[in-house]
Amino acid sequence: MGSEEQPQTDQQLVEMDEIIEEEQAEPSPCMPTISSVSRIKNRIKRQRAFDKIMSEKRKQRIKEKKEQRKAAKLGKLPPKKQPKKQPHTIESLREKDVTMVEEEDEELDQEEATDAFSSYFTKSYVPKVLVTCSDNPHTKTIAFIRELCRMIPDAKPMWRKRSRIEKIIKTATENGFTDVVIVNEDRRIPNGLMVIHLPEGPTALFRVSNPKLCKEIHRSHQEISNHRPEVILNNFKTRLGRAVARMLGALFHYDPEFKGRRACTFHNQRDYIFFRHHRYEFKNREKVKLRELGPRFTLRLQWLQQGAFEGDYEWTLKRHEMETSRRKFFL
Amino acid sequence: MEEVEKDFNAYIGTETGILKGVNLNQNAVIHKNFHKIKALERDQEITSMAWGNEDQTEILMGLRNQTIRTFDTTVKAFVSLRKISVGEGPIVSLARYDGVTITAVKSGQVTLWRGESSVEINALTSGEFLTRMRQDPASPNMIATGGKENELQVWDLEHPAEPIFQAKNVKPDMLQLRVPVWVSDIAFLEEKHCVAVSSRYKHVRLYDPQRQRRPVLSFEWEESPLTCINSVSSNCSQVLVGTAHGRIGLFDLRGKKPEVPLFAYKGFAGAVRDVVVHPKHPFVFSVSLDRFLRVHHLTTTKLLFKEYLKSRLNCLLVTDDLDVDDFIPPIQKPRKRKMKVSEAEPAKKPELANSKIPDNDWESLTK
Repeated sequence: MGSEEQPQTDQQLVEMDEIIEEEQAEPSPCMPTISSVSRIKNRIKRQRAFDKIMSEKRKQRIKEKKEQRKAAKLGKLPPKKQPKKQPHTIESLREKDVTMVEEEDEELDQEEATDAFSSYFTKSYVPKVLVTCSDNPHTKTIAFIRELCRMIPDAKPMWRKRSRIEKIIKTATENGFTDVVIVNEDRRIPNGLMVIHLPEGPTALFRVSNPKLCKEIHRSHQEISNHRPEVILNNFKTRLGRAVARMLGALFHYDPEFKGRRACTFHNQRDYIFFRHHRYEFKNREKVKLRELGPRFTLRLQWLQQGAFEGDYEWTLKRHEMETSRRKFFL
Repeated sequence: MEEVEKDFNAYIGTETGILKGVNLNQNAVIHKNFHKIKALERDQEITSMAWGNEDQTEILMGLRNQTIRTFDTTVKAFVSLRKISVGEGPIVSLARYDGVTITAVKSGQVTLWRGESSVEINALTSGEFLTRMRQDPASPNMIATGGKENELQVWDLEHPAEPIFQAKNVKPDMLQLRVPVWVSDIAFLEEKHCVAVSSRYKHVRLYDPQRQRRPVLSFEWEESPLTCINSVSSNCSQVLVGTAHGRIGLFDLRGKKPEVPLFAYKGFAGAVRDVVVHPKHPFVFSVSLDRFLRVHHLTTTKLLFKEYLKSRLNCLLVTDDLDVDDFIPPIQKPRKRKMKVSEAEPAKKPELANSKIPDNDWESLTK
């Protein structure tokens, strides 16, 4: 604080506040304002200043309404309604990241054209997924695996039988699987999901939270048809997010059967990936009817490794070192 | 525009096969790709890099498809291309000695290319594959090799028939089980040809070829494979070690507690692939798998620069000449402001004290 700013009367503060509000009313979503009134230390003075602002706002509103009524009486059209202000969220205030993917990036296109998933996106193989779990799975984990297999086309559930992941990778590659999904459980609830792309990686570990089976959201598994679903990958913006999205997308068949009207959504919000499974129905040109089918769960990336459960880490979550701001996200 | 004319400080080889030049200065970080991106394929990944001559005007790049490419830094263009076909796998390391190019491939063949003729050394008599070959900067005729299940070997290029030193594995552990070996990187210490080794099984080891075949010092650091090690040229006993989870530690191998890092450098999200300390200034350059080039200060561990380079980065070369004045960011302004406030306040206070009590009262009080 410079010495010039200190001698300010309440009147000046109020004026300043108004200026700030006027400037920031235009962009949407509206940004948070730090009112100079809240900096007044004396409680009574602060209250008085605040009341003043509020009463002026009220007056303004009444004045506007009067003018509108007048215009309506004279037969003029009412002035155009201002667009509704969007409240800001942590997500909309997201800090800019250098790794955000831009529209046209030659280097990115080149890398994606040569990486491990390039052959999936050129439709040269059909994904075949092996779904397994940790040792001694309990009811909920077994049901969770069963539902994953109903949802992902060409997925095969298998018991872990106490085998090492390295061994699973080896035998799965020999048997023509392209991905391995391993569900981990803790306290009889699934809490981890590891996705391994074969034969050369990458590997990603996700933490699973809020797993809800079909039964828990009062749906019958019989509603899930055998048609291949559409996959929606939403809001993955950074380079890392894109890699993760490609990986999750490559679990499903590239050619959806639109007849089944089934959609699997991976929606990223604040680094949490929400999975939802719906059946849709177009009522008319505007309205769409959605019915959730289940299961439903939330993923959070823990690490991304370059090889198939070996090699260097491309990204690891280091909570206290990385999470410097509430508005900084990595996906 | 003058800054663009300036030479690049660091050259970086990437997994996509692009060679990048970076010019660091306080105003902006300028980086440039030297490749035509469209022409690249997956097997052109740059797996190793080395300076081609003493003046650092030539860069040798070893590619995955066993090709050596030469880049001239004065003309900023690729000069020559040479395909070698020795053994299998990518070129693991490159070196230049007395006009001879030395290549090491993953299947274990170390070859000296003297014009058209070549001398081959088989550095992999046992074990799975070779991971690294390193040249001694002090005496360039010495090289060291190591790999998975293949212990450290030191070779003299004048007599390439036999290694002059062959390390021996440490004794079995307390359960009488053999300790596995996987040398990930090698660093020569300036002191009496000591060799420090990092392993993917978390060990840092120091070998003294004149004393014994087993390591003189061996300790573990962190629950993460160690990916790279490099010596600090200003201090002959210090090494920097990078991990696969993204951390660098500075160790003093001759100190009282060698297993405790002196400093740890943070801020990485992915595995550290290569780390270099500038020979003249206290800067730690590192490239990592999270696509960032980072520069830390050696003793304060502060992050000075961080630059996103879009591809996964594999190897790094830093030029010796670096303009420090241009490089170090200026002292931050807020500190100066604080100083001003503290100066102004004491000047006011004595005035207030004098003005409140008039002289007459003072006299009455003192009486």
